[in-house]
Amino acid sequence: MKERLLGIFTSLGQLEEAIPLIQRKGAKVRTVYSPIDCREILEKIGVRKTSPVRFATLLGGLAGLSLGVGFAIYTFLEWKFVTSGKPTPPAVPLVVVGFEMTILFGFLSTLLCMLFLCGLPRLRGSQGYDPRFSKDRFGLLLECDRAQREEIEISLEQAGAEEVRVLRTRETSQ
Amino acid sequence: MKDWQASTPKSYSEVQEVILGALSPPGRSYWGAVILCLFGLLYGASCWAYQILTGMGVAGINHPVNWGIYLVNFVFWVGIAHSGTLISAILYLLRARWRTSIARAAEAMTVFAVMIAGLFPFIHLGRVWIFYWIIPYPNQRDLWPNFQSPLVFDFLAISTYLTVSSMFWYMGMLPDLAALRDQSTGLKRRIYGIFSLGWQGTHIQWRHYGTAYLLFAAFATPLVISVHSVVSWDFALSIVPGWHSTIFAPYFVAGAIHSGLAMVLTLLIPMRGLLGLQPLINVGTLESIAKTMVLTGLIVGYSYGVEYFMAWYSGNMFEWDTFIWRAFGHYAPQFWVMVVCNVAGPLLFLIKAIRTNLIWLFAVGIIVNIGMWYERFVIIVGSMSHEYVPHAWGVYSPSWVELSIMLGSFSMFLFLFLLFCKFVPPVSVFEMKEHLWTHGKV
Repeated sequence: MKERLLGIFTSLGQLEEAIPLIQRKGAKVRTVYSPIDCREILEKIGVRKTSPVRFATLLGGLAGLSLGVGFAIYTFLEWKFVTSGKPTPPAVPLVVVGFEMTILFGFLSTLLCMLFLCGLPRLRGSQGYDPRFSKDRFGLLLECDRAQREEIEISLEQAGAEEVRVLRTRETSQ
Repeated sequence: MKDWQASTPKSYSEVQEVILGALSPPGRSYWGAVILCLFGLLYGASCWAYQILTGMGVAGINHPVNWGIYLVNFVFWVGIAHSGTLISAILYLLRARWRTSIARAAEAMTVFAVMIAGLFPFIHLGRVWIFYWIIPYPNQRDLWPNFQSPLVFDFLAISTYLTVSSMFWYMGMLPDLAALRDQSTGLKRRIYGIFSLGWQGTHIQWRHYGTAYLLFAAFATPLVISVHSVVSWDFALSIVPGWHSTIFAPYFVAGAIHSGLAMVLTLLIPMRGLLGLQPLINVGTLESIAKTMVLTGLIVGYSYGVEYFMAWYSGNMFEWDTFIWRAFGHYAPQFWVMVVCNVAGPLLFLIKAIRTNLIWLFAVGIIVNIGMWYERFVIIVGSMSHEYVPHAWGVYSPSWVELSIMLGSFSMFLFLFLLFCKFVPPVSVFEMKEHLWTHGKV
């Protein structure tokens, strides 16, 4: 039987110290809440720092480039607008169109992918979230066996947790 | 004006209280300023309506000057839009610490300035209801877009810039909107809740957000350079003397950043005082802007000099005559205002006592704004009124309708900026907190 605990910390340093402590006791970190972007936390909980958003950026950029250049070439071929003996389609103007479309599509695909991976927009709040996490508190939501709960609670308090809450899971509420 | 010597916030909660405290209910003077700007905006809008109903004859543009102050304002506002992205994206990539407290306001300035700039081609079109003819798409009228035209480049560049800069601004605010949601109640909480998209600051969210924000900055950086380059090609790809020049792209980009930084000073100095943000936007930050303006002012001055050198060295009599006429002809006063304000004005910042004095900073900001507006005027009107054939020369004066619409554009800009100051955090809360963390203050 699993239990979920939420430890609330006043500083990032305390949170960083608490993570290896509770991991050694067999608890699993589910979520870390933070008012700031702190990459060191990701390392501590074994999550890669880099995000797959990059691949969406690359694909979006390439799609934009192809679309911009392709559309310009298509229109040149469809309606041959010959100026000053330049070849149709002329190469130089395609650079500008391709560049702008690369930026636009690359940006939008990054944005959409980021929102998707972040689970945004999110209509309902999650069980462990506390409004203080957007101000000056850090939250550590973890999962452990029911038998270990007390031991983990004590570890969290020893690491400097200001408050430790036991969250109701689906199993415990039944 | 004596700078308020307040202590810098020492904790996350202090940072949040100072910034979100700026959003406290405003007084009568704020609403008075909002209403005044709204009147100016409505007056400008009604003059545009008058022009649509009466026809383009009410504007002062006529042969040979067919591009009047509508396009002067277009280029001016695109220029103003530049420093926002410079401060938020380029300085972010360069890890310039002083940008943190001013990036949000500069980005807001960018978004509002691009919106206003985008209006001027429509105002200049006259028959604005068929504006979609300039959108590049295949259609049954065979009005296929000419992708060799800088006007199509311009449409693509400006619309991309508006999309990217507004989304970059909005995404940068997500964590702060969540903070606002969490400390609000009632209807405010619901509204900020919708705009924060349910942000919770989980490690998963920060992981993807951090990478995406870096990529946004990486996209915005070449974009900001390209946009004003494309605007400059509206001129440089023609054969009008004074316009047909390869220096135009870097010259316009440097000028745009110069004017944008001046506008940042013009807006931030009153804003920090009125909203009590002195602990965050300190004189050191404003001094950094002033130092950057010395650099951009020197680049602009160098460009003015190179333009004259190239006109003389090319041996092209039309080109040289145009430049002589610029300095000593009908628009000589505007030309010299441009040179003095844009080149000599920022050099005052070489003196430390001036670049650390708020009155001087504000005054030079205004001076450079005036100078940069005249620069656009001198380039656009000065060249068109003195082209190749002497019997086609002519001068231009803006009509009251054009001046009223211009007044409306400035009112709209201030109106939007005033609303921004009181409804969204004017300084990035989470970045200021990160600043404390990385410097070991918490």
